[in-house]
Amino acid sequence: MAILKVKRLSKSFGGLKAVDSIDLDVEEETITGLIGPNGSGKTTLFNMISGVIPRDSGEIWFRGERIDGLKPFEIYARGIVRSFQIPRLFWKLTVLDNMLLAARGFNGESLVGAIFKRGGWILEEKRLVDKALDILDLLGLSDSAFKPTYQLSGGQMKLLEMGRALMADPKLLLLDEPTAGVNPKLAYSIFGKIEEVRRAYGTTFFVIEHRVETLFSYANWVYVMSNGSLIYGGKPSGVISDSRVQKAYLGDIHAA
Amino acid sequence: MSDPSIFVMHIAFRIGVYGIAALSLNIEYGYTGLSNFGKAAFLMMGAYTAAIAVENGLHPVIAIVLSIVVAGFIGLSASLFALKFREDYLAITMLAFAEISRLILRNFDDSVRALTKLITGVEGYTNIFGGVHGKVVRSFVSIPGDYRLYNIVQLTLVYGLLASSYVFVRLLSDSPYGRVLRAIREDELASQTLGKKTWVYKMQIIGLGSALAGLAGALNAQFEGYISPESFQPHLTFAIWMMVILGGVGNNLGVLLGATLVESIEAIALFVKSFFGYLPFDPVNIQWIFVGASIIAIIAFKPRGLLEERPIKTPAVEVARIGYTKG
Amino acid sequence: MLPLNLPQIFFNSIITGSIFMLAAIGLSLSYSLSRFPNFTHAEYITLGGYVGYLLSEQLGMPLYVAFIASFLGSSLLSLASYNVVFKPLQDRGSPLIYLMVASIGLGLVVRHTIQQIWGGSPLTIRAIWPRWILGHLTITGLYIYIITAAIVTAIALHLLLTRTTIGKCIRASADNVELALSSGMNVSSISRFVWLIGGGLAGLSGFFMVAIANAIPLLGWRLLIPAFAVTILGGIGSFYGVLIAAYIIGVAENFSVVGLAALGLPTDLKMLISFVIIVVVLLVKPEGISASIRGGVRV
Repeated sequence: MAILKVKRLSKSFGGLKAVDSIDLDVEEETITGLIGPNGSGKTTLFNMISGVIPRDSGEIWFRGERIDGLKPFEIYARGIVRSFQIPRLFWKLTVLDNMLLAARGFNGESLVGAIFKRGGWILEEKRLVDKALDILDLLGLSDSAFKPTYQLSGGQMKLLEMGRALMADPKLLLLDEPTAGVNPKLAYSIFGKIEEVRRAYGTTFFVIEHRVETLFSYANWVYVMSNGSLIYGGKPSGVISDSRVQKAYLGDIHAA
Repeated sequence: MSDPSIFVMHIAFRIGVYGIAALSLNIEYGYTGLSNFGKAAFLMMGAYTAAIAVENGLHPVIAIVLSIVVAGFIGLSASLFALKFREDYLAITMLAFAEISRLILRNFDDSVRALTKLITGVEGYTNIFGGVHGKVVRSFVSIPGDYRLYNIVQLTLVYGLLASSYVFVRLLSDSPYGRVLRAIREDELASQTLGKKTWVYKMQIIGLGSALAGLAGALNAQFEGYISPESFQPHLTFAIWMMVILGGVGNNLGVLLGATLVESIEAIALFVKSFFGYLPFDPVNIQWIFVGASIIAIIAFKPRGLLEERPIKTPAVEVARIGYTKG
Repeated sequence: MLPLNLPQIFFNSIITGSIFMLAAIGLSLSYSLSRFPNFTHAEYITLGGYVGYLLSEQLGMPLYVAFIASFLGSSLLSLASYNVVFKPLQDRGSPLIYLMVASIGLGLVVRHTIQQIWGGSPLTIRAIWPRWILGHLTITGLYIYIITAAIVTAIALHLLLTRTTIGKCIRASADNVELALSSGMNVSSISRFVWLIGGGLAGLSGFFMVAIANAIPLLGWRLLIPAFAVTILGGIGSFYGVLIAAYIIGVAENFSVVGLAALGLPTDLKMLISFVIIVVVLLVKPEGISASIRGGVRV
């Protein structure tokens, strides 16, 4: 069953069609990849799904509900969580604080709750701290829980970004280049963690990735974008032999 | 200055008042990153509200509540516009807002008089804000004859309210709410994608910060006994910023230390001025030259202030931290 | 009600607009090049006023000497504040708000030094200007000076910005600092040049204010809100935006003075115009009118 459906979605910037009438489905509990040369519109697509930028036309459906036009926090509340290409962490806060900030519907975060219902949120936070430490443990970050975030290595930041996303019990995780800037070995282990999480929590992953080989070892389904259009959707094994992909993209892989 | 205790009393009171003002800017800028350069306006609104309230025979407690509510409400209304701006635009707008508020207060009575005459043809009389001449403010405390007891009651009042403000601000900042404030300061867009309604937080904080500033303004007005638009120049806003940056942005004890230091400089200038009589220089000029130069030095050499910001302390996080350091 | 003397109101608007233009050019260009609103700019205006007073009134020098000195004094202060305070702070990575606070701090240093030297009371220049009356219009020699200075400045800066290499660099950097840096321009020395000229023009505007009214330590601060209104309405960093916005606000202020006076309201309230312009432009069109000047395209 498709958890996310995108129908004839378009977005232009000035005269440029960044995303041009795209249709795609993401099946539940899969790792679905999204690849394409730089500037092919992948991040714009993610921005529209997460509500960060408005669409020009088209529809986005999530678990049977239309979500285009909703605000980012409303989309987040429905269970779509995204990570950014460059991790957007809160650098001066601790790793644990970053994790706790991602919890959804935490009553201690309201003004009245914080001051007058201390008993309530103190217990609630205790649960969240335990959950955060469990996830950090799974990702191998528990030693850094109380460090300020800017002290993490590049790979650890990527993992924290994913860990933070997991705190929100997402149904769908949008990951924008989870392995950018880390060495190839670490890239495999990051995807290993993604697969572990998928099994443990039943999360669906929609992943933009440039490391095609790493992605293909784990992805169930792959979409390819070029110049704002979708040029392929199918099993990873079929990508290499597709003539349109070869034309638009394969040169780029070898160049990279 | 005949009685040194009056002088010390004066300084102690001002430290208390500006401590409250510094805490209010700390929740706005220190925690949330909101560059409110219009602080003087909210102190002014609190001061005038209290003055008018006691003038009309209201109880001091009601006067205090009213100045908190009025300043908070105006802050909240201003935030509806101001929070759409990025930080430098917010700073310029708030600074201009404070100057314009001062201008309006100064000309309010004359304007009402002119408009009344224009509409009714009768030369009316309006004296609400006192224009350039300002207003005499009746003290909240009335103990005829016993100046010592009067001082003790005034100090108890201001330090009681400072302590309450401190506890309130601490409860806010060391809570999940305070964690969201810091997240907004670090990266507002990222906070939004984590589902935080950042504008709600920002409005609440400008409202609360303005309310606290109003409280400080009211307390000071009734103690000084006189206010005029000239008491609320940009110097005042700048002094409060100085307290926060010097003491430590995001550290509540730090900004209280900052308030103490900045007010002590003011005290020394006042003391020199009144003690030595004629001098070849005006100590007030020297004071502001010194304050201006020191803020540049702090920004250059100690930008985090004397007491640096500490991580958020909530019970669950503290328990986990202790477990972590033991394990 | 008084009969409207339209020629005089327009003429006065040109005077006000010319002073706003001179006061705002440096503020606008340095805001975009150095990327923070410089509140010390107010004191370049004030210092120019007092230097002019010193030379023409205290030392009895001819006016043109005072004129040049007010430009030089403020341009040196402006350059020094960039070199000694703001550039080093930026190199240390001070954030925008800290730079702004530092600029207010430096402003206090300068203003209170001025107040220490000349005192806080208003000082006036007792020059007697020639006066011509053309129908309903009264023109004095001072006004001729101001208009000439504004025209010469506008033409000189236009030629500088369009015909010289440094001028083209200034325009490019004012438009997009990152792009200018990445294309190898020496933005620091371009900035120094802009601070030097901008500070000097602010000093001139201060001298004119003193000649029209009087010198007080808050002289520049009073002109700063209109100068910000001009900067923002014109579009931060746009020279031509400043040219147009200065006269728009000049006209608006002079008509509001007439309106307020006719209603019997205090004319001080004219400052509201600048505030409303700042808020409305930032809410509706933060890039100001500069985008419209260039046909809506920022290059």
